[in-house]
Amino acid sequence: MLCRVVPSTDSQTLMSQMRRGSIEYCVLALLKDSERYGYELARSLAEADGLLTNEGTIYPLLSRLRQDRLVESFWQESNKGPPRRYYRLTDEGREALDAFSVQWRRFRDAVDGVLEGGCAR
Amino acid sequence: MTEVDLNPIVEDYMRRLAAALERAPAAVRNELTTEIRGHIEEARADLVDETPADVLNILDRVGEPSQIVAIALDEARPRRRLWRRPVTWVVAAAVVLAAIGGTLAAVVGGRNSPPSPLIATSSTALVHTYPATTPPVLLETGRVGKVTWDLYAKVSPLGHPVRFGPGRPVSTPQVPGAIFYPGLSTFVWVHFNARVGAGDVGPFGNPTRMPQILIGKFDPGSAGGSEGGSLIGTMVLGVTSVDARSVRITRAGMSALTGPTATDRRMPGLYFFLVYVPGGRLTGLDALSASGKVLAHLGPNSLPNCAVANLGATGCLTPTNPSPNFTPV
Repeated sequence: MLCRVVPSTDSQTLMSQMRRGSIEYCVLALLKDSERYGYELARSLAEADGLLTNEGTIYPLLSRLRQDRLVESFWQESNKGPPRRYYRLTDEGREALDAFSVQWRRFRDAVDGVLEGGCAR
Repeated sequence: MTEVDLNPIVEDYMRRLAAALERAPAAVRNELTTEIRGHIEEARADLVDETPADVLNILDRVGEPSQIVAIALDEARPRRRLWRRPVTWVVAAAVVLAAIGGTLAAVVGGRNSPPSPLIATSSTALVHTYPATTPPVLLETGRVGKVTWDLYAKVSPLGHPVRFGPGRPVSTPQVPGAIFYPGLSTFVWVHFNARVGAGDVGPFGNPTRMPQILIGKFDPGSAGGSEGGSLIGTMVLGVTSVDARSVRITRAGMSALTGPTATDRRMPGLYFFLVYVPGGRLTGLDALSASGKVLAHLGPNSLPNCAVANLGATGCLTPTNPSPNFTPV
Protein backbone atom coordinates (compact mmCIF):
# COMPACT_ATOMS: atom_id res chain seq x y z
CA MET A 1 0.00 0.00 0.00
CA LEU A 2 1.46 3.32 -1.01
CA CYS A 3 -0.41 5.61 1.33
CA ARG A 4 -0.90 5.19 5.03
CA VAL A 5 -3.51 7.10 6.95
CA VAL A 6 -1.94 8.79 9.95
CA PRO A 7 -4.28 9.28 12.89
CA SER A 8 -4.28 12.83 14.26
CA THR A 9 -3.02 11.60 17.65
CA ASP A 10 0.23 10.60 15.90
CA SER A 11 0.83 14.05 14.47
CA GLN A 12 3.34 14.94 17.16
CA THR A 13 5.31 11.76 16.58
CA LEU A 14 5.22 12.39 12.87
CA MET A 15 6.49 15.96 13.30
CA SER A 16 9.18 14.72 15.64
CA GLN A 17 10.39 12.17 13.09
CA MET A 18 10.42 14.68 10.26
CA ARG A 19 12.15 17.25 12.45
CA ARG A 20 14.87 14.80 13.41
CA GLY A 21 16.11 14.40 9.88
CA SER A 22 16.02 18.02 8.89
CA ILE A 23 16.69 20.18 11.94
CA GLU A 24 20.46 20.23 11.54
CA TYR A 25 20.13 21.47 7.99
CA CYS A 26 17.76 24.18 9.19
CA VAL A 27 20.52 25.28 11.56
CA LEU A 28 23.02 25.29 8.69
CA ALA A 29 20.56 27.30 6.60
CA LEU A 30 20.20 29.91 9.33
CA LEU A 31 23.97 30.29 9.31
CA LYS A 32 24.15 30.59 5.55
CA ASP A 33 24.35 34.36 5.43
CA SER A 34 25.52 35.41 8.86
CA GLU A 35 27.13 34.30 12.09
CA ARG A 36 24.65 33.69 14.91
CA TYR A 37 24.80 32.65 18.53
CA GLY A 38 22.97 29.76 20.16
CA TYR A 39 20.14 31.70 21.75
CA GLU A 40 19.45 33.51 18.49
CA LEU A 41 19.37 30.22 16.55
CA ALA A 42 17.10 28.60 19.11
CA ARG A 43 14.61 31.47 19.01
CA SER A 44 14.53 31.50 15.21
CA LEU A 45 13.84 27.78 15.04
CA ALA A 46 11.27 27.87 17.83
CA GLU A 47 9.39 30.64 16.05
CA ALA A 48 9.41 28.71 12.77
CA ASP A 49 6.25 26.73 13.50
CA GLY A 50 7.65 24.43 16.13
CA LEU A 51 10.85 23.33 14.42
CA LEU A 52 12.37 23.33 17.88
CA THR A 53 10.12 22.49 20.81
CA ASN A 54 12.78 22.58 23.52
CA GLU A 55 15.27 25.38 22.97
CA GLY A 56 17.89 23.68 25.13
CA THR A 57 18.15 20.77 22.72
CA ILE A 58 19.87 22.94 20.14
CA TYR A 59 23.15 22.91 22.07
CA PRO A 60 23.90 19.18 21.76
CA LEU A 61 23.10 19.54 18.08
CA LEU A 62 25.44 22.51 17.67
CA SER A 63 28.14 20.59 19.51
CA ARG A 64 27.86 17.71 17.06
CA LEU A 65 27.82 20.01 14.04
CA ARG A 66 31.00 21.55 15.39
CA GLN A 67 32.64 18.17 15.86
CA ASP A 68 31.62 17.23 12.33
CA ARG A 69 33.21 20.51 11.23
CA LEU A 70 30.07 21.68 9.50
CA VAL A 71 30.14 24.79 11.69
CA GLU A 72 32.85 26.52 13.66
CA SER A 73 32.48 28.73 16.69
CA PHE A 74 34.11 31.60 18.47
CA TRP A 75 33.35 33.54 21.62
CA GLN A 76 32.48 37.20 21.60
CA GLU A 77 31.64 39.60 24.38
CA SER A 78 28.05 40.72 24.60
CA ASN A 79 26.85 44.13 25.65
CA LYS A 80 24.15 42.42 27.69
CA GLY A 81 24.60 39.14 29.48
CA PRO A 82 27.39 36.60 29.29
CA PRO A 83 29.89 36.16 26.41
CA ARG A 84 28.26 34.58 23.38
CA ARG A 85 29.46 31.66 21.39
CA TYR A 86 28.90 32.52 17.75
CA TYR A 87 28.64 29.91 15.05
CA ARG A 88 29.42 30.18 11.39
CA LEU A 89 29.22 27.82 8.46
CA THR A 90 32.38 26.10 7.26
CA ASP A 91 33.00 25.31 3.61
CA GLU A 92 32.10 21.73 4.39
CA GLY A 93 28.89 22.88 6.06
CA ARG A 94 27.98 24.92 3.01
CA GLU A 95 28.52 21.94 0.76
CA ALA A 96 26.43 19.76 3.06
CA LEU A 97 23.63 22.33 3.02
CA ASP A 98 23.72 22.60 -0.76
CA ALA A 99 23.61 18.83 -1.12
CA PHE A 100 20.70 18.57 1.32
CA SER A 101 18.79 21.36 -0.44
CA VAL A 102 18.91 19.48 -3.73
CA GLN A 103 17.82 16.21 -2.13
CA TRP A 104 15.15 17.90 -0.05
CA ARG A 105 13.49 19.56 -3.06
CA ARG A 106 13.49 16.27 -4.92
CA PHE A 107 11.99 14.48 -1.92
CA ARG A 108 9.44 17.21 -1.27
CA ASP A 109 8.32 17.24 -4.91
CA ALA A 110 8.01 13.47 -4.93
CA VAL A 111 5.90 13.44 -1.77
CA ASP A 112 3.77 16.34 -3.00
CA GLY A 113 3.23 14.51 -6.26
CA VAL A 114 2.08 11.35 -4.53
CA LEU A 115 -0.13 13.21 -2.05
CA GLU A 116 -1.77 15.30 -4.73
CA GLY A 117 -2.26 12.18 -6.81
CA GLY A 118 -5.02 10.84 -4.59
CA CYS A 119 -3.86 9.73 -1.20
CA ALA A 120 -6.91 11.18 0.52
CA ARG A 121 -7.58 10.17 4.09
CA MET B 1 4.98 45.01 43.52
CA THR B 2 7.25 43.19 45.90
CA GLU B 3 10.59 42.36 44.35
CA VAL B 4 11.13 38.60 44.33
CA ASP B 5 14.51 36.94 44.07
CA LEU B 6 14.12 34.76 40.99
CA ASN B 7 17.57 33.25 41.04
CA PRO B 8 16.53 30.28 43.20
CA ILE B 9 14.11 29.20 40.45
CA VAL B 10 16.95 29.19 37.94
CA GLU B 11 19.37 27.54 40.33
CA ASP B 12 16.85 24.81 41.06
CA TYR B 13 16.60 24.19 37.31
CA MET B 14 20.40 24.11 37.00
CA ARG B 15 20.58 21.64 39.88
CA ARG B 16 18.15 19.36 38.08
CA LEU B 17 20.22 19.70 34.93
CA ALA B 18 23.40 18.84 36.86
CA ALA B 19 21.70 15.79 38.36
CA ALA B 20 20.56 14.62 34.93
CA LEU B 21 24.09 15.13 33.62
CA GLU B 22 25.73 13.22 36.43
CA ARG B 23 26.67 10.23 34.29
CA ALA B 24 27.48 12.21 31.16
CA PRO B 25 31.10 12.57 30.02
CA ALA B 26 32.83 15.58 31.56
CA ALA B 27 33.11 17.35 28.21
CA VAL B 28 29.37 17.07 27.55
CA ARG B 29 28.53 18.07 31.12
CA ASN B 30 30.68 21.21 31.12
CA GLU B 31 29.66 22.42 27.71
CA LEU B 32 25.95 21.85 28.14
CA THR B 33 25.86 23.47 31.57
CA THR B 34 27.65 26.55 30.25
CA GLU B 35 25.44 26.81 27.18
CA ILE B 36 22.15 26.36 29.03
CA ARG B 37 23.08 28.85 31.71
CA GLY B 38 24.09 31.37 29.06
CA HIS B 39 20.82 30.75 27.22
CA ILE B 40 18.76 31.44 30.33
CA GLU B 41 20.74 34.58 31.09
CA GLU B 42 20.22 35.80 27.52
CA ALA B 43 16.49 35.23 27.76
CA ARG B 44 16.27 36.98 31.13
CA ALA B 45 18.23 39.94 29.81
CA ASP B 46 15.47 40.46 27.23
CA LEU B 47 12.86 41.01 29.96
CA VAL B 48 12.13 44.46 31.29
CA ASP B 49 10.39 43.60 34.56
CA GLU B 50 10.72 39.90 35.03
CA THR B 51 8.23 38.02 37.15
CA PRO B 52 8.36 34.44 38.43
CA ALA B 53 5.99 33.51 35.61
CA ASP B 54 8.40 35.00 33.04
CA VAL B 55 11.28 32.96 34.39
CA LEU B 56 9.20 29.79 34.51
CA ASN B 57 8.15 30.39 30.90
CA ILE B 58 11.79 30.72 29.90
CA LEU B 59 12.64 27.46 31.63
CA ASP B 60 9.67 25.77 29.95
CA ARG B 61 10.96 26.92 26.59
CA VAL B 62 14.46 25.66 27.37
CA GLY B 63 12.98 22.25 28.11
CA GLU B 64 13.01 19.54 30.73
CA PRO B 65 16.61 18.76 31.76
CA SER B 66 16.15 15.01 31.36
CA GLN B 67 15.02 15.46 27.75
CA ILE B 68 17.93 17.77 26.91
CA VAL B 69 20.42 15.37 28.46
CA ALA B 70 18.91 12.40 26.63
CA ILE B 71 19.46 14.22 23.34
CA ALA B 72 22.95 15.32 24.38
CA LEU B 73 23.96 11.74 25.16
CA ASP B 74 22.48 10.56 21.90
CA GLU B 75 24.36 13.23 19.94
CA ALA B 76 27.61 12.39 21.75
CA ARG B 77 27.46 8.76 20.62
CA PRO B 78 30.03 7.87 17.98
CA ARG B 79 28.22 7.73 14.68
CA ARG B 80 28.79 7.81 10.99
CA ARG B 81 28.96 11.34 9.78
CA LEU B 82 25.96 12.29 7.71
CA TRP B 83 28.05 14.37 5.39
CA ARG B 84 31.53 13.75 4.18
CA ARG B 85 33.21 16.01 1.69
CA PRO B 86 33.90 14.01 -1.45
CA VAL B 87 37.61 13.49 -2.07
CA THR B 88 38.24 13.87 -5.73
CA TRP B 89 41.29 12.80 -7.67
CA VAL B 90 42.05 16.49 -8.22
CA VAL B 91 42.49 17.09 -4.47
CA ALA B 92 44.54 13.94 -4.04
CA ALA B 93 46.77 14.85 -6.98
CA ALA B 94 47.24 18.39 -5.67
CA VAL B 95 48.40 17.10 -2.30
CA VAL B 96 50.87 14.67 -3.85
CA LEU B 97 52.22 17.30 -6.24
CA ALA B 98 52.52 19.84 -3.44
CA ALA B 99 54.46 17.42 -1.27
CA ILE B 100 56.83 16.54 -4.12
CA GLY B 101 57.18 20.22 -4.97
CA GLY B 102 58.06 21.12 -1.40
CA THR B 103 60.73 18.44 -1.22
CA LEU B 104 62.24 19.48 -4.54
CA ALA B 105 62.24 23.11 -3.50
CA ALA B 106 64.03 22.22 -0.29
CA VAL B 107 66.70 20.26 -2.14
CA VAL B 108 67.20 22.81 -4.91
CA GLY B 109 66.70 26.03 -3.01
CA GLY B 110 68.30 25.28 0.33
CA ARG B 111 67.05 26.53 3.67
CA ASN B 112 68.28 30.10 3.48
CA SER B 113 66.69 31.07 0.19
CA PRO B 114 63.58 33.28 0.20
CA PRO B 115 60.34 31.35 0.39
CA SER B 116 59.32 30.30 -3.08
CA PRO B 117 55.73 30.13 -4.23
CA LEU B 118 56.25 26.39 -4.39
CA ILE B 119 57.17 26.19 -0.73
CA ALA B 120 54.30 28.46 0.17
CA THR B 121 51.92 26.28 -1.81
CA SER B 122 53.19 23.03 -0.38
CA SER B 123 53.20 24.44 3.12
CA THR B 124 49.60 25.48 2.73
CA ALA B 125 48.71 22.10 1.30
CA LEU B 126 50.32 20.43 4.27
CA VAL B 127 48.28 22.56 6.62
CA HIS B 128 45.09 21.50 5.00
CA THR B 129 46.01 17.85 5.00
CA TYR B 130 47.27 18.02 8.57
CA PRO B 131 43.97 17.13 10.18
CA ALA B 132 43.85 14.00 8.04
CA THR B 133 47.24 12.66 9.05
CA THR B 134 46.19 11.34 12.46
CA PRO B 135 43.01 11.79 14.43
CA PRO B 136 43.26 15.37 15.66
CA VAL B 137 41.12 17.11 18.20
CA LEU B 138 39.93 20.43 16.90
CA LEU B 139 39.75 22.36 20.10
CA GLU B 140 38.57 25.73 19.00
CA THR B 141 38.44 28.12 16.11
CA GLY B 142 38.55 31.81 16.55
CA ARG B 143 39.90 35.09 15.38
CA VAL B 144 42.71 37.19 16.65
CA GLY B 145 42.70 40.49 14.86
CA LYS B 146 42.41 39.66 11.19
CA VAL B 147 43.72 36.17 11.63
CA THR B 148 41.53 33.13 11.99
CA TRP B 149 43.14 30.43 14.05
CA ASP B 150 42.45 26.77 14.47
CA LEU B 151 43.67 25.11 17.60
CA TYR B 152 44.37 21.42 17.40
CA ALA B 153 45.74 18.77 19.68
CA LYS B 154 46.65 15.40 18.35
CA VAL B 155 46.32 12.22 20.30
CA SER B 156 48.60 9.26 19.72
CA PRO B 157 47.23 5.72 19.48
CA LEU B 158 48.30 5.27 23.08
CA GLY B 159 46.14 8.16 24.12
CA HIS B 160 48.88 10.64 24.92
CA PRO B 161 49.04 14.04 23.29
CA VAL B 162 51.48 13.90 20.43
CA ARG B 163 54.53 16.05 20.93
CA PHE B 164 55.21 18.08 17.82
CA GLY B 165 58.88 18.71 16.85
CA PRO B 166 61.51 19.81 17.69
CA GLY B 167 62.26 16.53 19.34
CA ARG B 168 63.68 18.01 22.48
CA PRO B 169 62.73 15.88 25.47
CA VAL B 170 60.12 17.62 27.53
CA SER B 171 58.98 15.71 30.55
CA THR B 172 57.06 18.51 32.19
CA PRO B 173 53.35 19.18 31.87
CA GLN B 174 52.53 20.71 28.56
CA VAL B 175 49.69 21.70 26.30
CA PRO B 176 50.47 21.05 22.65
CA GLY B 177 48.61 22.88 19.96
CA ALA B 178 48.87 24.33 16.54
CA ILE B 179 47.95 27.55 14.86
CA PHE B 180 47.24 27.92 11.21
CA TYR B 181 48.73 31.22 10.13
CA PRO B 182 47.18 32.27 6.82
CA GLY B 183 49.76 34.93 6.14
CA LEU B 184 47.31 37.81 6.07
CA SER B 185 49.39 40.17 8.13
CA THR B 186 53.06 40.76 8.67
CA PHE B 187 52.74 41.48 12.35
CA VAL B 188 50.35 39.64 14.57
CA TRP B 189 50.32 38.97 18.24
CA VAL B 190 48.65 35.95 19.71
CA HIS B 191 48.31 36.12 23.45
CA PHE B 192 47.96 33.27 25.85
CA ASN B 193 47.06 33.08 29.46
CA ALA B 194 48.57 29.91 30.89
CA ARG B 195 46.89 28.66 34.03
CA VAL B 196 49.24 26.99 36.42
CA GLY B 197 48.95 25.35 39.77
CA ALA B 198 49.28 27.52 42.84
CA GLY B 199 52.92 27.91 43.82
CA ASP B 200 54.16 26.47 40.56
CA VAL B 201 55.55 29.66 39.14
CA GLY B 202 58.44 31.75 40.09
CA PRO B 203 60.36 33.19 41.60
CA PHE B 204 60.29 36.09 39.20
CA GLY B 205 63.34 36.38 37.07
CA ASN B 206 64.02 32.66 37.23
CA PRO B 207 63.42 31.51 33.67
CA THR B 208 63.63 27.85 34.60
CA ARG B 209 60.38 28.13 36.54
CA MET B 210 58.47 30.35 34.16
CA PRO B 211 55.89 29.04 31.72
CA GLN B 212 57.54 28.66 28.38
CA ILE B 213 56.30 28.31 24.89
CA LEU B 214 58.08 26.50 22.12
CA ILE B 215 57.12 27.61 18.67
CA GLY B 216 57.96 25.69 15.57
CA LYS B 217 56.64 25.37 12.10
CA PHE B 218 55.74 22.52 9.83
CA ASP B 219 57.56 23.32 6.66
CA PRO B 220 58.38 20.88 3.86
CA GLY B 221 61.45 22.97 3.08
CA SER B 222 63.12 22.39 6.42
CA ALA B 223 64.76 19.31 7.80
CA GLY B 224 65.06 20.47 11.38
CA GLY B 225 63.51 18.61 14.25
CA SER B 226 63.10 14.92 14.79
CA GLU B 227 59.47 14.96 13.67
CA GLY B 228 59.79 16.99 10.51
CA GLY B 229 59.22 20.45 11.94
CA SER B 230 61.59 23.33 12.36
CA LEU B 231 62.06 25.14 15.64
CA ILE B 232 61.58 28.87 15.22
CA GLY B 233 62.13 29.90 18.75
CA THR B 234 61.89 29.06 22.39
CA MET B 235 60.40 31.84 24.38
CA VAL B 236 60.36 32.43 28.05
CA LEU B 237 57.15 34.31 28.30
CA GLY B 238 56.83 37.73 29.74
CA VAL B 239 54.79 37.68 32.90
CA THR B 240 52.97 40.81 33.85
CA SER B 241 50.88 39.64 36.74
CA VAL B 242 50.60 36.62 38.98
CA ASP B 243 47.98 35.42 41.34
CA ALA B 244 47.42 32.09 42.97
CA ARG B 245 45.83 30.53 39.92
CA SER B 246 46.80 32.35 36.78
CA VAL B 247 49.75 33.83 35.05
CA ARG B 248 49.14 36.48 32.48
CA ILE B 249 51.38 36.03 29.52
CA THR B 250 51.85 38.55 26.79
CA ARG B 251 53.78 38.81 23.59
CA ALA B 252 53.69 35.12 22.96
CA GLY B 253 52.89 33.06 19.96
CA MET B 254 53.12 34.68 16.63
CA SER B 255 55.62 37.24 17.78
CA ALA B 256 58.23 34.60 17.09
CA LEU B 257 57.48 34.97 13.43
CA THR B 258 59.11 38.35 13.43
CA GLY B 259 62.15 36.98 15.19
CA PRO B 260 64.85 34.55 14.17
CA THR B 261 63.29 33.38 10.93
CA ALA B 262 62.50 36.61 9.18
CA THR B 263 61.65 34.96 5.89
CA ASP B 264 58.74 33.26 7.59
CA ARG B 265 56.99 36.52 8.26
CA ARG B 266 54.70 36.27 5.30
CA MET B 267 54.62 32.54 5.06
CA PRO B 268 51.30 30.87 5.53
CA GLY B 269 51.65 27.64 7.36
CA LEU B 270 50.99 25.59 10.40
CA TYR B 271 52.83 26.66 13.51
CA PHE B 272 52.89 24.35 16.46
CA PHE B 273 53.47 25.27 20.01
CA LEU B 274 54.03 23.68 23.34
CA VAL B 275 53.26 25.55 26.49
CA TYR B 276 54.74 24.09 29.60
CA VAL B 277 55.82 24.92 33.08
CA PRO B 278 59.15 23.36 34.01
CA GLY B 279 58.70 21.47 37.23
CA GLY B 280 55.19 22.75 37.74
CA ARG B 281 51.59 22.07 36.90
CA LEU B 282 49.97 23.59 33.87
CA THR B 283 46.23 23.43 34.33
CA GLY B 284 44.97 25.16 31.25
CA LEU B 285 45.45 27.70 28.55
CA ASP B 286 43.46 30.72 27.49
CA ALA B 287 43.69 32.24 24.06
CA LEU B 288 43.27 35.99 24.32
CA SER B 289 42.48 38.71 21.87
CA ALA B 290 44.86 41.63 21.54
CA SER B 291 42.65 43.63 23.88
CA GLY B 292 42.85 40.94 26.56
CA LYS B 293 39.48 39.33 26.04
CA VAL B 294 39.42 35.60 26.55
CA LEU B 295 38.50 33.96 23.27
CA ALA B 296 38.74 30.40 24.45
CA HIS B 297 39.76 28.53 27.53
CA LEU B 298 41.36 25.16 27.10
CA GLY B 299 41.97 23.03 30.08
CA PRO B 300 40.66 21.00 32.90
CA ASN B 301 39.67 23.97 35.00
CA SER B 302 38.35 22.39 38.17
CA LEU B 303 38.08 18.83 36.93
CA PRO B 304 40.21 16.67 39.21
CA ASN B 305 40.63 13.77 36.78
CA CYS B 306 41.98 15.82 33.93
CA ALA B 307 45.72 15.62 34.38
CA VAL B 308 47.55 17.57 31.72
CA ALA B 309 49.27 14.40 30.54
CA ASN B 310 46.00 12.93 29.33
CA LEU B 311 43.99 15.98 28.42
CA GLY B 312 43.57 14.90 24.84
CA ALA B 313 42.69 11.35 25.74
CA THR B 314 39.99 12.15 28.24
CA GLY B 315 38.34 14.96 26.36
CA CYS B 316 39.20 17.41 29.09
CA LEU B 317 40.40 19.99 26.61
CA THR B 318 37.03 21.55 26.18
CA PRO B 319 36.49 25.19 25.49
CA THR B 320 34.46 26.61 28.31
CA ASN B 321 33.47 29.98 29.50
CA PRO B 322 36.21 32.31 30.59
CA SER B 323 37.13 31.74 34.16
CA PRO B 324 35.66 34.27 36.57
CA ASN B 325 39.10 34.40 38.15
CA PHE B 326 40.62 35.92 35.07
CA THR B 327 41.25 39.62 35.40
CA PRO B 328 42.56 41.50 32.39
CA VAL B 329 45.47 43.75 33.24
